[in-house]
Amino acid sequence: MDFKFDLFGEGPKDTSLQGRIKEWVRAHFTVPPEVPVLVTEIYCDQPGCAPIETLVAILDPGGRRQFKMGRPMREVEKGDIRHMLPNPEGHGPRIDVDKLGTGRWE
Amino acid sequence: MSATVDPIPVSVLTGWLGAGKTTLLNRILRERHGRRIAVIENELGETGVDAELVIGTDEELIEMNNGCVCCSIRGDLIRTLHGLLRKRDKFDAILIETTGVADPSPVAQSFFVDDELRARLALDAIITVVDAKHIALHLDSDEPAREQIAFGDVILLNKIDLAAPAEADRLEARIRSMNALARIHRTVRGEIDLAKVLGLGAFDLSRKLELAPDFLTGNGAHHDPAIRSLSLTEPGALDGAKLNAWLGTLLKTRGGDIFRMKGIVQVKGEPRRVVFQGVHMMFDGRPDRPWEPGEDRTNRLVFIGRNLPESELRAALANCRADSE
Repeated sequence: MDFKFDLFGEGPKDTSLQGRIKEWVRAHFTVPPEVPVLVTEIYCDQPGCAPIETLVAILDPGGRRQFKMGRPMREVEKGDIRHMLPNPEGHGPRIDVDKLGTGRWE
Repeated sequence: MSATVDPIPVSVLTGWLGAGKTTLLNRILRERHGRRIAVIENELGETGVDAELVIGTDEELIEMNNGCVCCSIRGDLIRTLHGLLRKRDKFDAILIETTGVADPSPVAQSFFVDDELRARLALDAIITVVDAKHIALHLDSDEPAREQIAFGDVILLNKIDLAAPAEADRLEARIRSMNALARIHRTVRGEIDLAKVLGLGAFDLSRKLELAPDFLTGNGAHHDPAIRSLSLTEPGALDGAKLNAWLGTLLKTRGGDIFRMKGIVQVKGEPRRVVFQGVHMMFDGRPDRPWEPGEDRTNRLVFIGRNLPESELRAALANCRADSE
């Protein structure tokens, strides 16, 4: 028997899911290739939250955009991207300045 | 020639203000180790770093879950690392220097959360530099200072020449009680054999789970009940479903308090060792190599965290045994 970690009862992880959702997000928002897109799942046991949510962040130097969907990645479909909920943060410092490229390169 | 490209090792350098991070950083950069190191730092320009490749970033925290600090990652870092990967031929390793007052967990978690970074980078180790003379003041009052120690894979008791021997011994015992996994070295002006801080593979799942002997024998007194290490052992094979359920519940309910965890366990029906690690709610685990004949299969777990419920954790682990009711 092969043991696999499955802490949240989601079944086998499909590692291609993140890449697929990223492609949908890039296409929908016309994200340039140099801007990273982050797709991940967050787990929450707070009232009112889905147990597993999919979070999307477009790390644009001009201002980060952050969204979430109330379902795990494996249930996300292409059509969901246009209905993603904005997920502004509630706490913490937010500094949307990207200084990449200001360093010294050879 | 293999078509696969080795992941780029990334070291994280943390430590309270004035501990000697930049001194160590410069020492690493000046040493003739033949590696080209790209440096990412938050305080570009405030200190002189002798690197040809230095990138400054602002600390941009992304709280993925409102109010859940244990789900925070560093957006600037992810963006910067993606940028660096496009210049892959210019360096061999990456070193991230955090600000003195920073909690290192968002940095560590950034490596777990992004699939592309996980595939192309390897978090090597978190190096925590401690001012042996003055850190005690901050350990009592500053949570990030305690967290920097809790997260360290390597802890340098720097400026050790300024601390009285008894003071240094007390400090080391206190740090050991907080972090049983770290390798602790005493240094002056960051002078250390670089093999002890670089290329450690501390986040490599296959790495042996090492604990300091004094911790196992109980000599590490619990000076810091709020943040401490807890080592659990349990004989017998574990039930895989129970283990999943327990760890899942644990991460959801106590992920904020568990800074690091590592484990090597025996799962019933699985002929290989099952290894795992976690940083807050980020978790990574899998079977690795087959158990060797005669190998001690005792389940070993180490938690480093805040307010760890020792008896509850011990009972929960015991309850995961395949032969328990």
